Amino acid sequence: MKIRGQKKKIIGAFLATSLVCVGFGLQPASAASSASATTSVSASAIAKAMNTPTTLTYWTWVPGLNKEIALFEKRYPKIKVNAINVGQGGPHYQKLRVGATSGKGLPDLAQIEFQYVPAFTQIGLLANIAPYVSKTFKSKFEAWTISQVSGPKGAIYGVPQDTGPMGMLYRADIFTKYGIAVPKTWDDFAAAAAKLHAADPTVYLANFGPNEADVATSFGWQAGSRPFKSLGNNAYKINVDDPAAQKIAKYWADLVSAGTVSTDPAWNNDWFAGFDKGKYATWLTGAWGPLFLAGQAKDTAGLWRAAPLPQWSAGASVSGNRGGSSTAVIKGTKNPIAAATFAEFLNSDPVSTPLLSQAPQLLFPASSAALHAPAFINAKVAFFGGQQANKVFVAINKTVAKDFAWSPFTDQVYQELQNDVGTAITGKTDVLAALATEQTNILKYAVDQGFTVSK
Amino acid sequence: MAKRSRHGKAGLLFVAPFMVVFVLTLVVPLVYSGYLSFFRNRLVGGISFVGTKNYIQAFHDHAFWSGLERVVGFFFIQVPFMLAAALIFALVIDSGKLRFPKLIRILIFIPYAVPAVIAAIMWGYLYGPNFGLLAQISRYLHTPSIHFLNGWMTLPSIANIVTWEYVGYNMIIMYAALKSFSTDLYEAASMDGANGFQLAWHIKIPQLRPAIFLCLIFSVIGSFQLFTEPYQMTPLSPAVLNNSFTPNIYAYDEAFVSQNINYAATISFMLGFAVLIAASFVGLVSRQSRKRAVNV
Repeated sequence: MKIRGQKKKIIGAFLATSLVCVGFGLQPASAASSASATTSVSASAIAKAMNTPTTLTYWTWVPGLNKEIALFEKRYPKIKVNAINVGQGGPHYQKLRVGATSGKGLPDLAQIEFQYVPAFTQIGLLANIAPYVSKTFKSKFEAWTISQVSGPKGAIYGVPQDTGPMGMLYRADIFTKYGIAVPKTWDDFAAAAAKLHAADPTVYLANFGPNEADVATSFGWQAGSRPFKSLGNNAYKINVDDPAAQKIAKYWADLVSAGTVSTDPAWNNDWFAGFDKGKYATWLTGAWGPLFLAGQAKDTAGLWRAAPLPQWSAGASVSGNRGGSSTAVIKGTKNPIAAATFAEFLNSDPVSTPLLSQAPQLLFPASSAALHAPAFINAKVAFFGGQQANKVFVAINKTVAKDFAWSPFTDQVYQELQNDVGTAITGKTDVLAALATEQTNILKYAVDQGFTVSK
Repeated sequence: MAKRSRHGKAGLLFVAPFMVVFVLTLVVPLVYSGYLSFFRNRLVGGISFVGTKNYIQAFHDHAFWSGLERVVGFFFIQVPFMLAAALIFALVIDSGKLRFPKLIRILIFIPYAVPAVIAAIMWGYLYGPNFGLLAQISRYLHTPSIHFLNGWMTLPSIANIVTWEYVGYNMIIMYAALKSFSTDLYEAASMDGANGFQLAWHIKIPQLRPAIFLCLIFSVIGSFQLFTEPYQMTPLSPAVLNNSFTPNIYAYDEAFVSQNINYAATISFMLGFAVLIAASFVGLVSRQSRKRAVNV
């Protein structure tokens, strides 16, 4: 499930927080150190750990995990798990950062969205669980999700929990009314946008939110943009303005210039209302989108359908991902084996994991078995007029490109993307120049932070 | 002598609770932030002492200065309106010519009791360009809807929220001052034939000067520290309300998005100095004008 990183802090708390944040210079040593320990621990060591009375604290904003935890505790009676919601997104990560610097008050496990796994590995917060997980670990999850939690030398920094493969949610009624076929390619999409807006100037085929850096990133993921590549030893290849990124930026800038897509800022009431009142005829988003729409656009229930993203070349089927989380073990936990076992159990146990896709969690699971469970895949979704929407997204999930990697400073990258490119697209200024500025600024930031960078 | 020193000790005892809180929550964090601003903590390489390098960087930082310019501009747009309105409300309520003065006083004051976060959310809804209340009204009247949080309109729209929030607070300060004045002068003025306006202009406002300057100082500080309203409204207008819209937003962003706690401390200190200079300037003007008033 996608949750916005809402940073609701007032400035009064600022000094106090910064006071705690920095401690007296006890920055944990950079990651990489324990990567040698990828050889599995023995079965007896695992058995011993799972029989040691332990209480695990787990920070997550996924609601109501008590059923899953009860199943785990039944299997391993000596281990107790406390799931605590310390805030969604931003506040959650800030608390983790505070803990990382002070070395105190950290949980044993934490939810980490894929795009932040490298950031928290960088500050040495996440434990390498490769020695503790089962031999079949990698086969239990969709392959691209494994690449999202993997580090160098076989290290694993989290267990994939849920994902958001990108698809297209569209209003079947609007498409029918104006004779629009479901666009298969981005060219079709642009033509449909023009046709629809000409037919009804109050309706747009899509909205390009200037503050949706994560969507732009997912479009790039699909188009083959690979902005970051870790070369090890804090060295990165950085190309946020690679040809695929330029293609994306140009494409959306052209649609905005033509006036055939709207540019409303996303994630506010006006935008929510836009879905409910039929201003936007599609929403290009992750697999968690249906759930979100069902809550925000109740009046349009039954009118929506799901389809794959338009493609860059006819006949292709490639997608990107937007959102999704992993369950990570925090370095310094007293019982890393129990923590890793819980993380793996929660997200792959055949009895427990299917619960993740039911209320109140309603996640789009990363576990292959849960994804392909008949009950999940064949469910007819009323909001989608009885369409088997999960089946559409499960098929899309197979097409998510595997090799997309994140930087260890995603917040900064999103911010630059939004400040430079988002502003240029909505302000109709030179988008390629803005992309070049973004590249320059990110390179500068990375160098200032001590990274070795190359293009 | 002995008696005096015992009094001294009692006094210390009385201020001790305040001093403890003051030192722990203000002085210590302040000193610590000052200490931090001379260091740098990088994702790779950790913490190092950099002397005044952060300050030199901030001095040449366009993002900081443009934010500072903006809050100074905000001060000149917003504060005169707000204080004039507060003064008028205070004088009108004090004139005794209103029915239900207490009710009106409360109504004007209530927005101050609304947390700034809630106020920003509420006004954000009112301002919404498509489905906000004001947009719906203009659609009903067939007039073009105004994009309140777009381009140059953004600052006045935020000024409007801040005025709405704080006019009552300033009014209460002025009204309380008015209530403390002796009514003898008023009586004497009425005897001389002064009407309500003359009374306000020649008697009340000159006496109110210290209270108005107090409000002005609070407003200088408030304007320079502008944060909550524009920060909360960022999702409504991300292109304009960006990460350096005001110096405080910039400091917050440096600390929690860019992970540059030390530079954030530097920005905070630079802003602190700017507030100090502006507040001293207002204080100076106030003293000068009081002197002039006495001389006349």
